[in-house]
Amino acid sequence: MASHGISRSEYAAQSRDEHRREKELKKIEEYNQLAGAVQEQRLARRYTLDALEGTTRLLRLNPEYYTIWNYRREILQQTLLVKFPSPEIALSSNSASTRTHLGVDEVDQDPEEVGRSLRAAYDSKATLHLKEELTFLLPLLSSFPKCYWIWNHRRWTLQRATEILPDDKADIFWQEELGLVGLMLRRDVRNFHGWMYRRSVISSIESPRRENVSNDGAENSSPRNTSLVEQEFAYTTKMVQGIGGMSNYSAWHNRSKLIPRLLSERKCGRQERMDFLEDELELLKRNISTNPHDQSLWFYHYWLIYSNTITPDRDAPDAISPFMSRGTKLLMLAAEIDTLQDLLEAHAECKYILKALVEYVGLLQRVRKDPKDPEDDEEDEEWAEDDEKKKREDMRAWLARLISIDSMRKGRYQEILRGLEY
Amino acid sequence: MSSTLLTSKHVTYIQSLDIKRDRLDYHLTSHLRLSGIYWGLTSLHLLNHPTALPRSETIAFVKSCYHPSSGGLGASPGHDPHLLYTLSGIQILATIDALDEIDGGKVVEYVSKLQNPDGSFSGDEWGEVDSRFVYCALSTLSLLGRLGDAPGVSVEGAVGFVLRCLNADGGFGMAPAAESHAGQIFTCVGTLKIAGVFEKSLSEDQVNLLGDWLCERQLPNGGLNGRPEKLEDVCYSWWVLSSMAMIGRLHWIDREKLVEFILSCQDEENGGIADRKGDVADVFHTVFGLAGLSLLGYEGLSEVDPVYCMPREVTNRIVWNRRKTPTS
Repeated sequence: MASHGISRSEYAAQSRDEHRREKELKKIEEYNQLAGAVQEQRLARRYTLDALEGTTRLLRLNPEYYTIWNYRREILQQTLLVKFPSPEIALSSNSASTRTHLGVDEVDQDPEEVGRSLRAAYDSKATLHLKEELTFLLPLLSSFPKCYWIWNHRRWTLQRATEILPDDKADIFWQEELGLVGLMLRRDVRNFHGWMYRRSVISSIESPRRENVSNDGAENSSPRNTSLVEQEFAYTTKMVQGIGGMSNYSAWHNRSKLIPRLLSERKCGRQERMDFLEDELELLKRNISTNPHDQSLWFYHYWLIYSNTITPDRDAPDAISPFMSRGTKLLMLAAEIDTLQDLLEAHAECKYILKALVEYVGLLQRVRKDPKDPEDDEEDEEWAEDDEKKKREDMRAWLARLISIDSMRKGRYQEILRGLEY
Repeated sequence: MSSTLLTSKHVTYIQSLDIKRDRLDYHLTSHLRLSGIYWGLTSLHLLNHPTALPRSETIAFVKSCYHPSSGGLGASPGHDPHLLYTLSGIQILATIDALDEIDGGKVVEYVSKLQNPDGSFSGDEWGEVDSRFVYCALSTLSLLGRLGDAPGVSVEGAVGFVLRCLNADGGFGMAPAAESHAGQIFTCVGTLKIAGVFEKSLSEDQVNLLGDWLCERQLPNGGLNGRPEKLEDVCYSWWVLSSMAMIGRLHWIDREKLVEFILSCQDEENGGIADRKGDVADVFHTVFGLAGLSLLGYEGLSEVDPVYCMPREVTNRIVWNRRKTPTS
């Protein structure tokens, strides 16, 4: 019903092949039988290991069947991943079955001692079952890396670890998960589910988690706040420096999201922020000069330039160096424009260089006219007027070239061109 | 390769979808059946064959997906309720003018309960959060005429969440800090349009930046991709193009080349449109291909509403004409 990338001729060949058709009809029958049986058990509210096995088989055939994932969670919550009963219940007489289930039979021991061994036995069983669940999901994720429901179920399983295990034991699960995401992202550096999931694992590790979890007898609930922003920033550096990494739009994007927090956590002052910006621009300059046709680099470059030159109406949490004077901004823009003009000589037909030139000259003019920047100098103004005229002519020439080499987007360029007349 | 729209083939293709029960895909896709009907029905309306699906059976199927206890709709009978399918069900009923067949108040209740304190919406009781679900919620409420007075729903909160999904490249992601993606841009811009706050939410610079990101999605073969450095796919003829239409930048891409690309993805023998030329057609790509062509003003198609992905005539009747000040 929503198929991607399946060849029509291949599909038609399948339909003509009698033998394959027969096999398909058999598969349909088997699938419908299994799906019917699992749905029936759900309606009968059966939460048993047998029913769980049914969901395992069905989800392997069809991981998009979201209702069955819901059913699986309901079963797990009531069987293998049930919460540890509170100490009073665990020790009361009617919990004998729980004890037997956990393999603890020492009825005559000191109640506290019994409580501790019950808890330890519970923890190790729960850990085992959580691991089994994650192991079940791994091959599914590898085969269906774009299936939302599998990622959701994996996140749920880890959250369940947080809910039913003591902090230190749950932490191990989250830490190990980072390793898995790393692996997934190495296989597909652009999988946005993978990146999304990575950010959610990171924020789970970073934030104090116990406050939302109902009291289930877990000790040691002191909240912590461990920032991983340095580690994650280093991860993006590693990603963009890997083979073909500079084309990794996802990594550059994540970098742009991490930097504001990174600088604030480093408690960077003006000079440090300025230095940071210069380092980033230098990194980009190196990459762009070797690969000027890479959109990812240009997106990041534009972000660096724009967010640090234009003072937005609202707060600007984005700017790396928000305290630059008008003069400094103009110098930065002029330097970038010079570099790009040099680059253009070697790559006359590169539309990204031309687009950036048009944008940055536009920014230069805006910064110059910005009344919010208090740095007026007569001499500067005169020079500006001459320069302005020259730059407007340059812009017209660049836009004309853009219209001819990137004609699909000529509507965009013509619009900018018209804006220049006035 | 066809250079014209194969209208009658597409109509037959959509009508035949429900009788392909001898193919495994039919059974493997019951988890999105209700959306499938919405895609088929919308396609037929755009093709000017609005009565090609039997009305009473369509209504009966929607009702069989409804959960009276919660007020939500699932994808098929026996499937759990979810915002994705609740929206599809309401879109179907709205399109065939049958909203009174369902307890709208109860549906509003279902949607309301899924809003989180940060303004976002969960897709269902299991709590997955995604900017897509904010769109599903607001679109559903507005089609039911209950956007302004849904008890417990904060439209302002929803808008706040969507704006936190805005990125430095002008696009929107599935959650705050997530990378821009054309599908997500459609849902976020659509949410702002439905809430009537688009114009005051984004500056001119931001709109231009977004327009630039969107028009860069057109590849040399005329097709559109959903993110930088990705392959073209017919469905982005909707996600990208509808967003461009909503921000008034449709003229920033090459219309002819895109029309040609969509038409080349038609199955000339059996009807339907595929993701790419030569691939198997499906109803999902069929509707988004047709809706894209409609936005591009392709002759013979009804006008589609870029905010709702429904026939304009329907949304005018039940949404826009009822608003004091039209916002789209």
